[in-house]
Amino acid sequence: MIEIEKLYFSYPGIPVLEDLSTTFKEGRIYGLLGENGVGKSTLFKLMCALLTTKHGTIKIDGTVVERKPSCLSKIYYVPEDFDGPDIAIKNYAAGVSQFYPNYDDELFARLLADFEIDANRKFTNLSLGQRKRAVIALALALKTDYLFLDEPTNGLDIPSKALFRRMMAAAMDEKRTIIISTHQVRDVENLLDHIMILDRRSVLLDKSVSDIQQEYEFGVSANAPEGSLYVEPGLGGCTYICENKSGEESRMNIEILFNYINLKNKQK
Amino acid sequence: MSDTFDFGRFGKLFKYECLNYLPRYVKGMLVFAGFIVASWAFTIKDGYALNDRTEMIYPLFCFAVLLSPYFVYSDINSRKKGYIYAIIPASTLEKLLSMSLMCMVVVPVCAFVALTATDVLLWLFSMMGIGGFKEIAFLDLAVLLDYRVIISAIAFVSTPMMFNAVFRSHKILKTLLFFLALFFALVFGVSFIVSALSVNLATERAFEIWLGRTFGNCSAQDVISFLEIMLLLFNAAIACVTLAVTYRRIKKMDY
Repeated sequence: MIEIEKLYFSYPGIPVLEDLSTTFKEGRIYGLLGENGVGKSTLFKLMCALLTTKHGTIKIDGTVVERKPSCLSKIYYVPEDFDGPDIAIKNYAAGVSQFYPNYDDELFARLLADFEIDANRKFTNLSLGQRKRAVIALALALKTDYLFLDEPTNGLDIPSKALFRRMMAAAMDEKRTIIISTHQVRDVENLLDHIMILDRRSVLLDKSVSDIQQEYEFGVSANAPEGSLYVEPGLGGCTYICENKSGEESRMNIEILFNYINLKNKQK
Repeated sequence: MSDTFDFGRFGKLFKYECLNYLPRYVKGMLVFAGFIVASWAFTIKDGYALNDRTEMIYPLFCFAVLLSPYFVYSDINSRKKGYIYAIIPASTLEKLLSMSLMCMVVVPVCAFVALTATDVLLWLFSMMGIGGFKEIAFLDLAVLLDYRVIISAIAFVSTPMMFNAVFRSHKILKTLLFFLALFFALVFGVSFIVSALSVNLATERAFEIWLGRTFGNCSAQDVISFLEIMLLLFNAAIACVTLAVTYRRIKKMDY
């Protein structure tokens, strides 16, 4: 479990995270959402000890996050832009995988084959999407307890996005925690177990998908129902979110949910 | 498993760095070897003197070793790429030792082999001018294993290692500017002290008396030994400081 307590972080003159407290539990795929600049990538870097906290603590399995082997071997981070070194994918994987005891070489080979990436090719000879596919395959094969993916579907083509979702679903188990930060919410909508929406100063929403579905009703209709909390007109009718009075769960629309929560926060 | 140092993990880290970082240096070595080939090509018409090539290989070797941290560990503190190095599950001590081993042993051996092999090939190819490889003084093991040489070599390599870890961009240029600034500061400082001593005759006299008392009864060899000890202490201090700064940068660098 990752426990974040009263976390404060700022870049020179720019406060990013203020008094953030939350937890990430095992066996869940978290969707970390927020407007640009609220600190999603910064939070990932703090959880990997790539940045130093100003105040507050981040604990992984009860131990404060530090740049030391016992902590780093539990986590892996895939940033939004992965350039990769000027060597073949298989060499990079051979070097990195030694440090991760649960690494599955067969899985890596299978994932690369599924993604149609040749392990003999150098990262520098690949497109952004191909590099992304290669590093996602490696990240999943390392089988770390905690996996942080920053905009994983950026640069992926449509078939790769579907493949990514399948891989993520297959990679999930009760011990793992995967946190995905993304603006492409439709790409990962069906994957997520838990949604966290961040604002610069607070966590606006921190709920499981099933709680959200029990609390809210999502739908599309020619006219939005009376008492809708947020409505977005479109060509096919109005997409809306309203309180769930019937108790029946509807298919969650993260984009509408995000816009509603953000709007509610700004109106405060 | 210790979070400070583990031999198995250190071996893995060293292997990782050999696989990931060393290939970058090969390109740099090709450039250095290219200098020898170019000089050979330009002088082939007039024959080639024995000393020329020997004299060329030694400074090239020093440059190749001196610049190696900038090539091999070029992006360890890059905000974009450096995270790859930072999240490797190895301790800071292991990372520092692996970097030192790479820059102080592996790279010099590679540089030596590459430069000498180029020289041998040129000699075999043309049979003109005996290759520098036959005359390389620094191959003398007795010299190489002298503790004074080892400490000097550590200071020589740990300094660029530190600057490579400190500067994020334009590293070589910034290092040169730093040394330029240091040189001017030293010149200014020495000039100031000398002029201050010259103005004050009493101080000048006291200094002469101190010199006389300290070195008056010493032979030239004693003075040389004293200066060697001072140089050794200076090199040891440089090595300790630069390695300590590099350690701290690896541990605390933000990305």
